This record gives sequence, structure tokens and C-alpha cells, in this order.
Amino acid sequence: MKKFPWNDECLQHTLQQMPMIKDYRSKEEVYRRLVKARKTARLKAWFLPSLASVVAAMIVVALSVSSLPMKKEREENAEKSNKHMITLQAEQRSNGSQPLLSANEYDDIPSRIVTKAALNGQDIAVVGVPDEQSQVVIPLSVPVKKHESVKRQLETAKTQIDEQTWGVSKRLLNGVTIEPSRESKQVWIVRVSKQNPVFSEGFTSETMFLSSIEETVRWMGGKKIRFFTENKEGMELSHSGYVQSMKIFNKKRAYYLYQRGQSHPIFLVPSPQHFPTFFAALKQMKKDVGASMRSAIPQRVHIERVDVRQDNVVIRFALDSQLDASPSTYWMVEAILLTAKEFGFRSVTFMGGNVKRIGPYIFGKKIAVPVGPNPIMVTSPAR
Amino acid sequence: MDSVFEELYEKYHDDIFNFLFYMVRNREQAEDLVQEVYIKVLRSYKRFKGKSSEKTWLLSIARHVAIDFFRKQKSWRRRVSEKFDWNDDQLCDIQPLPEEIAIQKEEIQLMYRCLERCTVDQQLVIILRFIQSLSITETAETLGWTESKVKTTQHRALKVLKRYMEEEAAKGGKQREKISVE
Repeated sequence: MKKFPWNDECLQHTLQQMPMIKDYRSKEEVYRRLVKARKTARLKAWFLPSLASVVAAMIVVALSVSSLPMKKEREENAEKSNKHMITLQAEQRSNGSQPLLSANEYDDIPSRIVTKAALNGQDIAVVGVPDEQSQVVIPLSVPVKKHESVKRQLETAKTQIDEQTWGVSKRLLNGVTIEPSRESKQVWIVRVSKQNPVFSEGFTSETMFLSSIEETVRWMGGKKIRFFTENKEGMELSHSGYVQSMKIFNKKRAYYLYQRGQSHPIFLVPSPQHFPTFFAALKQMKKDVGASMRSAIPQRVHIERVDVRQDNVVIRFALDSQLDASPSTYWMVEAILLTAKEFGFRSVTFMGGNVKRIGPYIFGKKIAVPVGPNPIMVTSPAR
Repeated sequence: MDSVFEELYEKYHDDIFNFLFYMVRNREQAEDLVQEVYIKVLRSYKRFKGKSSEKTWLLSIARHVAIDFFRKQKSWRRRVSEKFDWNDDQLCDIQPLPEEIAIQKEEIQLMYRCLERCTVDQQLVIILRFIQSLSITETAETLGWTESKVKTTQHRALKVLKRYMEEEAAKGGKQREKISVE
């Protein structure tokens, strides 16, 4: 054994002589274990969050049932102060014979879309933000100053979104800058700080982060995203691997109702899956998606016919549809308008259903698809 | 069998396994981690643009998997030590040398022991540079570092390895002297 002082050359020489340690298993065995491990990983990814949701839902039900008789008075007071908060529970009750709101009370229902007319010379920035439980990405429209740079608009929008009020979590978007590149407005540059939790957390955070960025850029008109970790191109994610760029494909999704909790508002959120046709999407909108996304088209509503006329789509409701004055009917119309936008339509005409209008949406007239989803009120509106 | 897996296996399996083994120093754990590497690689293979080499891309994923493993192990150890009020030292199990190392000459065995005393970053650089024979550029690409950071870490790693080797050699010498007196 060498007893003299070691120099770099000796050390390097010894290191280079270290033996190659081989895997004794055959290729087939490694593959067999890989297939098994992939199945387990998929099961974990789907089963555990679902189980957590079910458990959480059971706890909520148990708590609300046990506290129901004692809290009647408190609830009445809360209803008074929270007049505009219409919850999914309200929708369930509205399935019965008593509509919650009469037609002239539509003004009290918060709209979940931004129309071009409502912009009133202002601009909006749409930011995709994960909900608190990292289950869905909610696109939120925030009013911003018209003549500011898009980067600044998105920065302002992010700061205006109050996490507690809306039940969302912005931490994955903190320190992230999103802006169109100098060369092309279709290519966007997303710059992430090395300290961003996406680099140190699990696959869910990575998925939520990428989906939020994709949703934001999609709404802002981008077609491709280039990622940078500070000044270095690409992002090295522990589970998804190296992500350098992402193309934004047209996604034909359906919109659903999502509510984080009783104290949070209802949002319209896009489905995780895509649909081949607009009609297929509408059909699917009558069904819930998992525990968190509720159907946007109530069971009492029947769509008789869908006709495509160039960039306009005509939806005819069956006469036996109950298009009552409930919030769920109002949001159904808005969810259909957002879904129509996903399929590239510019306007929707509603017909039938034995009604002349649902809130501001007049039957028989072309209604332009929204410019943004889920407008949020901010404390200091843009001037 | 998945053709992507088959191709990657043929080209890089030995390198990935060897790298993971030297990082975690346990065959069974290296076997488990190599599965994780394949899961991640197959999941993101379509996104691989080929800007870096396939080998450095795979090694960078293997590096993340190893670091994740250390992180989990650390939190497990912390939880166990909190619960049972043990010292960290008591939880360190001195593993026997793997067969491939045990049959080598004493210098190699000693180097294997000393390598364990280096920091994770130092181990990464030493393994990639000298055991995997990657260039400075390839090592920087794998680790997502600058080349100067690789050079600095390599310099420090060799410096501490030199010290550890001399310490161990001195210890060994003393032990031998003691044995011969008895």
C-alpha cells in the first residue's frame, strides 16, 4: 500500500482503476420490473390523490351533518352577508321544484366569463393558477392596464390574485417571468428562478407548474414556450426530465364547475381530456369528472340538436328542458360559450328550451364567445 | 418490449447502473433506482430534443433520482432519530465492501471508503469525471453546472480525497504496527 503523500495524478489514476459495477439482471428482468414499477407509479399517481379527496369529502360531509342543527342562525347571517356567493349546494337544491333565484335576480350571480363588450377599453391578463390542493389549474382573468407590456400585465395580474379569497396557490409561479419573445409573439419565454419549488418537489408540482404556464400562454395567444432556468436554457425537472420547450396545441376541451370549498367561489375550469367534436364535449359536460369537477350542464337540460354554421354554432335545447333561473343554468351557458371557444367557434346561438333568454344571453341571437374565463375582482382596479 | 427501452438499455444501462451504484453504494437500491430512471426517461423521452447528448441527459436524470433518494433517506433518518432518540451515528450501518471492490488491491478499497466521506457534489464530480470518464463539458452538462464549477469542485474533491487517503493510510499503518506488537 502506498504510504507516500498522494498527488492528483496518483489519485486520478486510482480512481480510473475503480471497477465497473454491473447489473447482474438480464435485460428481460429489468424490463419486467420496469413494467411493474410503471403500473405502481400510475396507481400511486391516481389512487392516492383520489383517496385523499374522498377522505376529505367524507370529513366535510361528517362535519357539516354534525353541525347542521346548531348553526342554522349563523348560516342565515352568513347568507345575508354573502349574497353573491352561490355554491354547488345551491345547485343541488335547485334541481327540485323551487328555483333559487327569480329571473330578475340574475344580476346577483357573478359571471364566470369576460365578454369583449365588458372590457370597456380595459385589457385582461389570464393566468392559469393551481388550486390549493393541486388538483386543477384555474384560468383567472384579471383587469390590467392596456398599454403596459404583456410581461408587466402578467406580473400585475399575479400580484392581484389573492390566494385565500380564490382558494388558489401561486407559489409555483412566484419568481417566474412570462413574456413573448422579441422575435415572435407566438414564441414565449418563461424564466424560472433556481429556487422555485418545482425543482425540489414531486411530479404533481411539476405537472401543475407546466399546466399553469401552458394555460397562461395559451390564453395570451402563444404557440410555443421556451423555458429558461434563470439565464440557462431549459429546466431540469426531477421527474419529468429536461424540459426545454413546449408546443401549444389546440386543445378541444369541455368546461366544468369547480369549487375549492364552501367559502370559495365557483369557477369554470377546462377538462383534462380532449374531445373529437363539440357535441361529444357537450355530452360529457353532463357528467362529473372525478370528485372535484362538477357537470356544467344539469341533468334537467337536454340538448336536442347542434348545428355548425361556419364559425357559429347553433344549440337547440329540447322543449322539456328546465332552463330555470338558477345559477347553474346561467353558468351552463357560460361553460358552453367557453367550450365553443375551445373548438374554434366565434359565436353561439341558443334556441328552444321554451325560454327567450337566460340572464343577459338572448336566445336566437349570436353570442360572441368570451375573451377570458373567471374574471376576478381586484382591490385596486387597473386605470 | 418497448423499443426505446431496448435501445437505451443496450447503449447506457451499464453506465447508469455503475453511476447509481457508486452513488448509493448498495446493489439492491441501485437496482430500484435504475427502474425509476427508466420510468422518468420513458415518460419524457418525446421531449428530449437532443441538444445535450443522450448519455448526459440520462445521467442527469439518474443524478436527480439519486439525490431524491438521499433526500428521502435523510428525512426518514430524521424521523426515526426523533422518534427513538438515537444518535445519527448509531444509524450509520457500516456496509461490507461489495465483491467487485473487495477483490481489488488495497488502494482501490481505501479509495472506495474515502469517496463516501466526500460531499454529494464532490462524489458526483469524481464519479462522472474519473469513474465514468466524462469530460469537463459533459460533466457540466450532466450536472447543469458551469464548467468552472465542475473544475472547482473537482479540485476540492481531489484535495479532500488526498487528505482522507493519507489519514486512512496512517490509521492502517498504526493498526498494522499494533497488530505486529501483539
